[in-house]
Amino acid sequence: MGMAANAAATMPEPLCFDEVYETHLGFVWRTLASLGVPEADLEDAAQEVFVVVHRRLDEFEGRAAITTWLFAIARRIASDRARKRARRERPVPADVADTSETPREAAQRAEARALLLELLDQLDDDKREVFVLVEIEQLPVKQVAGLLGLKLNTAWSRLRLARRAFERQVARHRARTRKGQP
Amino acid sequence: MKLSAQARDILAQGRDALEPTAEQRTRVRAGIDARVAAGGAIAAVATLAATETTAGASAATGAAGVGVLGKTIAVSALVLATTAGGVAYHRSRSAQQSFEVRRPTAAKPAPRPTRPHRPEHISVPAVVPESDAKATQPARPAPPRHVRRRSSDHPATRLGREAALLQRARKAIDQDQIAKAHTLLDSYARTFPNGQLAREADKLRRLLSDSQPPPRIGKQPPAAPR
Repeated sequence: MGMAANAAATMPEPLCFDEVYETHLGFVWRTLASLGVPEADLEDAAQEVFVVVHRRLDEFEGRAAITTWLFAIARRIASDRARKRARRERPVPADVADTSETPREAAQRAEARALLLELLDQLDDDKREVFVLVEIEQLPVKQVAGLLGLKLNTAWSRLRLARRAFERQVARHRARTRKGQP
Repeated sequence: MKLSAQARDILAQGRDALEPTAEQRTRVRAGIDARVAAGGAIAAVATLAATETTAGASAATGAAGVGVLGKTIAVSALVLATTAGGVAYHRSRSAQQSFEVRRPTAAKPAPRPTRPHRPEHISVPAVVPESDAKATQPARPAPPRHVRRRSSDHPATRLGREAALLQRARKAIDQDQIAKAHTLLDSYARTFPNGQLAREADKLRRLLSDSQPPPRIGKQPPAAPR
């Protein structure tokens, strides 16, 4: 009886798709964007991720954090899409107008997003993944190492190099904007 | 090494800007629901096809009932025809001399099947010499024509083929292989103009048109350098 109760207590509760979607869409969205999925493809890619989640949620055993699982799916889909984009360069359609924010807010938002993605774009893929997960998703380096299947030292090393490269890009950007000012 | 304040600022602002908006959330959710619904329809059809092609798995959904009924009728007819053929053969063996007498259709040529691709196992020569009567065995009752038709014409197999084709189209859509999905759906429309899964095919076509990139017209901008 006691053992059964213990087993029941240690069994992870089954996940509800709606809850996973509501809680983690932001994470998936940012991950896809940070891994280079263009803005125009984000909705489609996010849908793909959650269709997989919907199909496989029963198989998720809860041994790892759900973000680990979601990141693995998002990473695969982002890389598939990058491969396809390399084959056929696709014109980026204009964003669908979002009426929930003012034009000024939308412009600021678009600018901040574009700047971050431009800076991230200069990083190598392997460093970029570590950097995004640590600096944007605020995950601990140990978890990121596990998530990407890296040794802890390798993860730290990549993070250090990525930070350095990111700082270089920020300095370049600063110099450019100063030059542009009167 | 720690990031500078400006780098941290860019990251924080960029992080907020990378959040999906409420409208994007709604659109993504609607898209997921549509995809899951389309996938579910195909999966149900695939289950139905599998049920029909596997004997004994008749406890399917209500939609499967019609197909199972068709299969039952076909199997019953086949059993009946085989039994009748066996009886005829047994009689021909036991009373070879009077075989011709007991066969009223022997004087009249049996009608040949109208469809050229069907096997000619039903056709009986107009006059069978008594010596050949042994060799030409089940000549007496002409079994119903639909019993021994080609396996590819069987409704269950046909439904299975329809489902398989649509599944391939759906997989192509999932993998963003737009041209392949179009080809498969066109192939479906050609092969099964009055297919039982025409509605599912239409759904897939709609899904395809939703996920299709805009056509490339005119000169394209060069690829952005990484």
